[in-house]
Amino acid sequence: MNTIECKNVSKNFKEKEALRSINLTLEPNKIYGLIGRNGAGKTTLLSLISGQSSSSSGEITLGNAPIWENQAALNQICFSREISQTSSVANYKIKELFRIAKIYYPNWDSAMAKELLERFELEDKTRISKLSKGMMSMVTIIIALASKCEYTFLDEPVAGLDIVSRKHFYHLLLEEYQESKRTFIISTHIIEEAADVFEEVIILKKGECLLKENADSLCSRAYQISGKTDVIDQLTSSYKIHSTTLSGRSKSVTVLLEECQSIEPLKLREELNVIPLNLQDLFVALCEY
Amino acid sequence: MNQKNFFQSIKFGVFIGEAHSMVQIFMIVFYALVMFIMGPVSFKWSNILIYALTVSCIYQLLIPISIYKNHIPTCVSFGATRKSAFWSMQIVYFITILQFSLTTIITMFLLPADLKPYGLTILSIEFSTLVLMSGIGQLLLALFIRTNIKVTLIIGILFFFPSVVFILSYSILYQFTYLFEHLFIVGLFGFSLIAFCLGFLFMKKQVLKIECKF
Repeated sequence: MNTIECKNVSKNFKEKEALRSINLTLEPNKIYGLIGRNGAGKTTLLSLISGQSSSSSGEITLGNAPIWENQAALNQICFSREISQTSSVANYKIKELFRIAKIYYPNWDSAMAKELLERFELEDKTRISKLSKGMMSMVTIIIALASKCEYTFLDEPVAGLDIVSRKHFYHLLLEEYQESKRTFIISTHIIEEAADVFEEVIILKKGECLLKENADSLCSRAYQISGKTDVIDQLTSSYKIHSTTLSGRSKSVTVLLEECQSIEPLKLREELNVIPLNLQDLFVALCEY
Repeated sequence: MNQKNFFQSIKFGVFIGEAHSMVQIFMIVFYALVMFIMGPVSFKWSNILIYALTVSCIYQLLIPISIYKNHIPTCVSFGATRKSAFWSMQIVYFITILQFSLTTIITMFLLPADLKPYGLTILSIEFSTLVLMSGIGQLLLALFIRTNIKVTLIIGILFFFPSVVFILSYSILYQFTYLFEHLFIVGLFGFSLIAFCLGFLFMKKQVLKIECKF
């Protein structure tokens, strides 16, 4: 399988710069988590990579061939985006959407689509505009999974889904991933639930790619250190601090260890409280104002 | 575009074309039924044909709006190229024109004796007008993509709509009695082809610039 590469990709909407010089490599057989605050450029990035929008500058390739207007490349990519009442597909019935999907996705699995439709208890004669937000998300999930595309992007797949359906989705995703070894990129705001599923994490901040790293290794080097302000200032001066919270005479900082750094010396100090951070807390620390 | 992708475009075009044709047929049948119920005074084949032609012309002119707002974004969101969406658009036109021509041919068999001699003329005018509308529709859409809605509307109103009014008023005022004017038919047919080719070429050039709003 080929890799997707973004080289210096930027996207402008009139005066606004939605994405700025994104350099990214998406490798096959991985589940990526694409996270960022509202307006960070997640959907725009997925739109560009899937050839649905054109970039203002830069190049996006799949196995060295450009993706833009390249049907062979596009056949390997499915971008299942969040459906709204006003979107172009809202006027179709579910079965009509599946008919279109069958036309365009070469590996479309009708049996799987039917099975998932039954599992989610949806009627294929229902018009998309008549569905609730959660049900619309179910339709996007079905299309993404049944497309069997090598690269499948899901934009906010769990938006509006209840906790049971969300767990069901992650279960289905892992099941499909183990069977087919496809590449999934999932953009979500519910990081805590999805963190265990992500193999790699891409964090976008204000249109820039803040980091792309293995989820476990990223979390293993993220810590929150708290203690008296002067002690913290003195002991963490050699660390890169990403966020600071002051509370009276105490201070709490978030550090992301560099390759050669260790947290052990700080752990040994009794006056400091060192706790490892999970992905969600790290994200908050990295992306807050 | 390879053979497989071309078939994808055809399949999607047929899918959309079917839906548009059904709406047009429904509108025409509904009007015919209303006329039939209202009684023999209102029920005239010529009236129905003029209505059907008017409806289809306006519909043909509006198809690009639907294609631009719904079908191209849908195609593209399912991984089709914009070029593929363009060819699907041509299939939609082909199907709607074919559907209307077939409807007219069937209607011709039902025409009363006094209108039967004009059957072929009616068909020619209808066919040409629909081709013309398809061309105008595409031209306006291409213009809209390149410029903006204001310019599109101004050019549409200044240049194209008078020709639409002319064709329709010709049929309405003369009630098909002067439709044998060969020059008019040939002229209309030629003009339609030129308009369609222009629309086709302009649209083909502009289709890559479409920024889909999902």
